[in-house]
Amino acid sequence: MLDHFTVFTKGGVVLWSCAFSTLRGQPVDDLVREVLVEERTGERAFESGPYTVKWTLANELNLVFVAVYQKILQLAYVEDLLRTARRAFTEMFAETLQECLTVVAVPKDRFVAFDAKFASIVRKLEEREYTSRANRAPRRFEDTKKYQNTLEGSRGRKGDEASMKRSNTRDTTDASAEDSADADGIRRNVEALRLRGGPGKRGGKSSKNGGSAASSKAPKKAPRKKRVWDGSATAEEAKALDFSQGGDGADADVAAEQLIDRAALGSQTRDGLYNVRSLGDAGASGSDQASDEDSDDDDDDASAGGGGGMYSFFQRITGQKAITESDLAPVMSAMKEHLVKKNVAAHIADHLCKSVSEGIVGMKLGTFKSVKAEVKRQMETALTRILTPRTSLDVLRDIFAARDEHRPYTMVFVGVNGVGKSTNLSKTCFWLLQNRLSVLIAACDTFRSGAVEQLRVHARNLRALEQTARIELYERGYGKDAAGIAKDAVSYAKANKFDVVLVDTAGRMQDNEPLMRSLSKLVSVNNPDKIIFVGEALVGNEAVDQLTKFNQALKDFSGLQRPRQIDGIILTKFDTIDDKVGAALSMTFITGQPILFVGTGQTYTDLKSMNVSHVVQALLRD
Amino acid sequence: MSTTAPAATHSHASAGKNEVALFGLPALLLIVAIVSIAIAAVYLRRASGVKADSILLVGARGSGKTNMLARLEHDAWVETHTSLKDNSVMVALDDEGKLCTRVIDVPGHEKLRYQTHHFTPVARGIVFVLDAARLGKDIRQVAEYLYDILTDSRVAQREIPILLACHKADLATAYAPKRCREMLETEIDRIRVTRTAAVDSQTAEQEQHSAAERYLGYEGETFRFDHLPNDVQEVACSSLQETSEANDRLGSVKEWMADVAAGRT
Repeated sequence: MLDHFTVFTKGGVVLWSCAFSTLRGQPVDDLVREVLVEERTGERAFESGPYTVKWTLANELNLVFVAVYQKILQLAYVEDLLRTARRAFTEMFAETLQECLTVVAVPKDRFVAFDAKFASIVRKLEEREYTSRANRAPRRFEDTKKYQNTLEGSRGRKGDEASMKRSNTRDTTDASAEDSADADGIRRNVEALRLRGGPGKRGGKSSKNGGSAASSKAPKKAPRKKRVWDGSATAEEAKALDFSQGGDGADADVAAEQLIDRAALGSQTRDGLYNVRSLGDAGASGSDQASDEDSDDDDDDASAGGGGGMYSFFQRITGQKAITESDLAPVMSAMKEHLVKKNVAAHIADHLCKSVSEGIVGMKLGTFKSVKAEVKRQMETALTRILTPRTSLDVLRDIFAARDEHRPYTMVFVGVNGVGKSTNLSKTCFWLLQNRLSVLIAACDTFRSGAVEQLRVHARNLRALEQTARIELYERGYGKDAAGIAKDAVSYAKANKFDVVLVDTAGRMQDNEPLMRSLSKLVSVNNPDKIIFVGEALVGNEAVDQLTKFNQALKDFSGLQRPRQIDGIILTKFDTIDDKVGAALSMTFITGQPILFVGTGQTYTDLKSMNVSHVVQALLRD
Repeated sequence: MSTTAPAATHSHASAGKNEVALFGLPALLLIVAIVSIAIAAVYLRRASGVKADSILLVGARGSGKTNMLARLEHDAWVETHTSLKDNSVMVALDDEGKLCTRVIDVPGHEKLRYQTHHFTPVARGIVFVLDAARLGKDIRQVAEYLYDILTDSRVAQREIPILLACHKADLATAYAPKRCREMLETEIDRIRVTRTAAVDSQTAEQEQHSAAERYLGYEGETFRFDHLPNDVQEVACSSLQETSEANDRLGSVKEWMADVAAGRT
């Protein structure tokens, strides 16, 4: 089922891995490159070739856990597996892992002990998955809630409950070593229940009453029900029920009991399958509160290590406390708001904050360090990573390479109306001319009146500015097919030995399908070296829509097997926005492509390259 | 501040001694306060002063830096994935373990490379790891990275020695170190032209002497590593362990590191 499971440090060293088959390609490396480095950890799964890759992080120990399986399989238990494995691994090798923080060459045989443990975890989860699949058939009437309300059903219920309880006890007592997977599942169910039973949803008079009554009477646990003695208990069961001796077994029992709340338990089908009780169940609401408290207590115990108040006091003083999600939530929402104020598209800010908190949860704070400062620091690295280009920005080097191959280098400028395509095309042209390159401008905006004349004026100006420059305008008037003109221009450039062809296209709204089709045609017919999206820095949320739809159109309408995508971005009107530079972030995050230039003014020389650290500082400035 | 603090402490301390007899306890407290301030000042100066005592392992991703580091540290073979964070370990450079140095493996992913510039202040030497078998294909990316390192202001100013470690030399398709050096020289010669012709940075007015503006080598001449103030050497190496000479495969890198750590270059 599973193809590959691996545990490695953020430094890149594999600590433990388990291959069930030989992997094709490098899905794990792809994951690191395309998800973890790009700050897209807010997502849940990643597809690479024939595989789906899921992962989880253990930040306090710098670990990454990755599971790889075939894309066509629907393995619902993988997330559970990752979480269970993470817990088991970090517990088993706590000391060794501390060492790993300072050493690279960790002998792999130190983690061999995990083989058996992992196998048992997988087996357990697979079994559970299997049984839940097998039981996906419609329930019998006798199992439904409706049946319980019938006369017959209410009679039979008492006996049922008793038998259910017995099987429960048996479950928790045997195999205490192996039940971490079960305990994990139950804890998850409890969590899910708590989430669904939020205060907002718990309207209604009856449930409210029930809730307050239950919590006032029994703050921790709902009252226990009577145990039915039918006189036929096996020796094992009898032993399990004997609480008089406080042995290890009893301890395990108590620990397991704390994790769950009997009253909030769902129903259990005949063959021991556990179903989470749905929120609508009568009487469930009161116990939500109790289970909530219970699990909270449990969390505290786990983090404090049971050292008592003094210990945790000193921990707080020395600041050696791991950051929890609840610590982060307020800081993160403030950070998100801050980013949105800087004109970052809302859902990108959201995504980014999620990703950053994924990377922080579990980290230990140093002395005198606040969560806020840590978040800011992490956000700074995240922003730098996103804005740092993945590919070379050296367009000139590409042009020289093309010249060596005796072909013109083609750049197509695309974008919505009025963002400054023609203006920035002419600025780019000026820069190329200064580097003694010959340029042909193809006027493929055959729609807007005056577009060709605008370019003609630019060409004339540029020729006047640079005496030695070789610049020409290739135009065929209005109303013609843009793709055809571009093609003619490229062959003209080739025949006349131009170095660069700059193709100006008509501005178009991303929703206008006929126009997007014609753009896609232009791209697929000419296969340009660079497709440059021109966007203005003033856009906020719209940036996301524009870029996704342009990319989507290039993909959908191309008819090619390997459709082209936007290769780079020119961000215009950058001088008008002060420090609200969010558009730069939104655009690079959406496309993963670099910002080649920013337009910063009205003259030909106002084309600059973007300074990443400058933008990051502007984004974080208060 | 750091130069004046000790002097000020002395004068205060001597004044304090006279006052002990007069004022007793308050004066004693005053002395304690002054001494602790002095200690804090010294401590702060220590913290702010950076000691350049590390050797960096840099290079494009997939060139085998993390692997090489494990080999250098414990002569162990580790399986690796693309690094997300830097690895930093102490490496013993001679058999007795007297000569040790910190070696930092900087992630080579394009988006994480900017971290290199955070480490150059602590660098005493830089090992530029390259995949000798793939250099023909990757020459542009590799040369650009090397160019970025060479133009880093601290690398140039402090004349940090650089070793071109042509890794994976065990592969049949690997280029010889001399050839790698020549290829890099040719490519950097081209990059030098395009980079200096690139559009100005957005904030270029404020930082006139920024790193990117530095011109490598001599104008009007083809670029050679010899033109640089830095000492640039090249060696072939491999982290593979299958023969008995395995130790020798990284031996040349280790030797170079030992020279750098001992200050012999």
